[in-house]
Amino acid sequence: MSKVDPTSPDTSSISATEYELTVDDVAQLQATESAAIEYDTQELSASDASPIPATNRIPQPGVPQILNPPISQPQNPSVPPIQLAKRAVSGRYRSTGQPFQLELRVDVDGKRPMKRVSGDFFKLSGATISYFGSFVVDAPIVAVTPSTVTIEGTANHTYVTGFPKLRIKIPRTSIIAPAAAATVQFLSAANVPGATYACPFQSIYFRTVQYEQDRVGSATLFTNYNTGTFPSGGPARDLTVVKSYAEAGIEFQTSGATNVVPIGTVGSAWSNAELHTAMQNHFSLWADTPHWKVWLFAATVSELGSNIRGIMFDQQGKQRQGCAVFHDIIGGNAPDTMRAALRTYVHELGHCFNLLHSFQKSFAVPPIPDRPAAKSWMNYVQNYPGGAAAYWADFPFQFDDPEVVHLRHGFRDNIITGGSNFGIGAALIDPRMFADTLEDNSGMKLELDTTRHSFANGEPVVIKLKLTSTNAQGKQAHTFLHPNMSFVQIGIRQPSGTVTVYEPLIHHCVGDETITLNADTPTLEESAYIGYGKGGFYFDQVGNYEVRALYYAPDGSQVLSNVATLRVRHPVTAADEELADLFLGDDQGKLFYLLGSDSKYLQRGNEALDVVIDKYGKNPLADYARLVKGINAGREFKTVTAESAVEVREPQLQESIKLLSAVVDTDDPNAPVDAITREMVATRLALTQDAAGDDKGAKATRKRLSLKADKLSKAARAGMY
Amino acid sequence: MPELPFSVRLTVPSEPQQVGAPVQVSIAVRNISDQPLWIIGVLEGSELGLRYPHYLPQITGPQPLPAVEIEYDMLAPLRLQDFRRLAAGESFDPTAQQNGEAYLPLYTFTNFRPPAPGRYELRLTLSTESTANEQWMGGWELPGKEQAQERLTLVPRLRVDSNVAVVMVE
Repeated sequence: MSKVDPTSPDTSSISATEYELTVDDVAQLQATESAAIEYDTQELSASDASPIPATNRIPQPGVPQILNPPISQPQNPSVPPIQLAKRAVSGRYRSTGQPFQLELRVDVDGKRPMKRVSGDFFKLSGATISYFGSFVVDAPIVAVTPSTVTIEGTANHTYVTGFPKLRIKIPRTSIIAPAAAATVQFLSAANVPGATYACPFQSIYFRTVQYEQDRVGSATLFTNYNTGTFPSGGPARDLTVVKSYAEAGIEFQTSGATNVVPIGTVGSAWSNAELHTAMQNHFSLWADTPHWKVWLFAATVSELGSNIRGIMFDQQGKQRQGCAVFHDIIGGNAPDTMRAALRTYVHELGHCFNLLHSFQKSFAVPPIPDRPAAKSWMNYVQNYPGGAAAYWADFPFQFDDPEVVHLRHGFRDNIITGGSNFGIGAALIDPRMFADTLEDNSGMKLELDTTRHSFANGEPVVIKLKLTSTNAQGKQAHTFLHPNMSFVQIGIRQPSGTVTVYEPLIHHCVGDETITLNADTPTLEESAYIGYGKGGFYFDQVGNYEVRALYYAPDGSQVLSNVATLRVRHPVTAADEELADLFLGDDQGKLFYLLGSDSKYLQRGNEALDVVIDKYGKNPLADYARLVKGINAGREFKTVTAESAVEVREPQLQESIKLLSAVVDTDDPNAPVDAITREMVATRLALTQDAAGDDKGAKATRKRLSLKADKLSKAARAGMY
Repeated sequence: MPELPFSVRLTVPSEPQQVGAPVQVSIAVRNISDQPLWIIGVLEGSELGLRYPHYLPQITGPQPLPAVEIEYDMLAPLRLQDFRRLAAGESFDPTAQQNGEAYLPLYTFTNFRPPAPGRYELRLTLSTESTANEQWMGGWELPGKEQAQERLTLVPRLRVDSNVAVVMVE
């Protein structure tokens, strides 16, 4: 577990005794309510307090909601008690205190509940507040009593935590009483209590955004449209841009006066660069940083063409802070024009919050399925099945459910303006990597296995991939399966529940070389080190992991592998702990990825591997260090000096032979270095022995592993596993 | 290789069509060279010439056609899966998604409902002439841009007009 964990017990914003609601607390709350109102909801039967899935108990849209209907048991038949509705508990809550503050979003009742709970942690240090990380509970269990709503579930996180579960208790109050604070208790997987946060209610909205509109002189800003003007797929109501986002649970606070941008400086048609400059000059809240501030600019026309109604042009620096609408196209007072204008405004602002077009959701990183029939602000009218007329007839003037989930509960950097680049993280998490394909006619089977199922902490994690044709006629396949080559993506579900995608440090560009998998060549196999990449170490936490691969076939098919599981063990001895420390350094991770390097910038990593070999030479894990050091020693290494001179370190053949021989010379089937990697190492060893003139040794190496010189593994030729 | 390695063919029903009824228009882009070639179908903005490849449909008839409501904003990035490799003699429908391409219909054709009797002529021009990457790559970026640009160099640069498909409307 990370030493910095806002869910661990020592970071509570209140003491452990404060979070439990005793009967006295409940009585006090009820007394408080009674002071405000004469009567309130009657006591309910015990069955009403049993945990139930949110889907069964959540009322339909409309605020306020009565979570539990009153029971007709009047205390005095002659004086029916007044039944005051309960306030919905959904909304935004925020703790105070140090060192962490929690912004909590509860979304289990009220308007269009999405049955989620999410939150962001902020770290306070001195006078600074920084964003720490986010979590979301996708399937909470909600239990309701007359006095309390309790929400429990396991969260996905952007950060590593030993307390993935949480329990939220929110006292219920009547609609005329103030909203109560939520108490959030984090728990370990074994229900050991972690941190507790008291979060006073803040807003019925899940996010609040500062919204500024500017315009050119000739543009009249859109104001409102009554959706009952023409038939549509939703109820008639008067909608503005602000109200449209409010319906999604996002508060737009209009800020500042509308600036009128002098058009004379840029001509009539606007390029994206000009729009960006206009934003920097006129958006009074602009900053090159993530923040909840967004700018909409009503311009004349895009230089891209007269069919461009609007654009989210901001793709420089901290992206997605501004968009433009083009009033030469969408301006006017005709009802259908105003209808289209409303849609364009809301649509372009949707891009600012990292929403993709409905029919292009698969462009997201990671991708999610397209929804071309979505009745959403984010669809194109012409792309909707049946065309524009069908779209307008069906459109309820709202975002579809997954988009609302994204807006309300997406990890902060994936939503906030100035956060992740457009399209990155445009889906909450990668739900596909661990969801089965509905139909697979690819004619291929992808198998993934880990070289071991239990790894020591710090031990390099290597996977084996095997692609087989299941088609009798054979199937075309890319020659390379290694995830460095972009045709295979590896998803990793970490012990915390977070799903991450392995990203190699270096993407290798390869051509479209393919082979036919058929009876002659039935399978393609590869092994790959996935322990370290752009995301750092992927297996540095103790616990259980799931790993799955996705292969992009030449015909466009996406072939999912089985889900492999592995466990990273707790260090047991002091030696285990030191070995873990010696392996788990960024320099060491890069050295494993690169199969060694002389770079002075990785010197500390090399020194750590030397310690592994010198001090723990008999430990099986030392073979990994020998492998990396041995391969690097066997090749020359060029260094460009500060004076631009090239220094070449010649291959250290004998050193390489000594190190690699120790890796290869084992018959132990449980040796930590897997068989495919050992074959690659043996090939390197044989070539090194050739270079050293050790013909006898090379012959013995090839004989030992039944290798022939012309069967060098493809991986070795490519210079990697 | 012939001067134009691709042909574009429009096919419409030979029998007379009804006023106001949709007309089935089929499109086939064929590799008429003797070697495999890469090509890209109809992408966001292709129909209006906002990005390459251009697929520019045209319909002329006895009276002007109502404007088709088409809008674009952020043109989708060109991706590797948007490329189609055609063997010699092979053809494909550039509007049909088969393997994850982002191909789109040509709305000028899918919305074509002849407003009056008479003779209508349908044409389609395919252009891959631009050598400027930015005119192909779309309005925003995704990882993999470099690979797409590399494959783009394999797409032949040309401009080819289809046959004239004639629809008679009663």
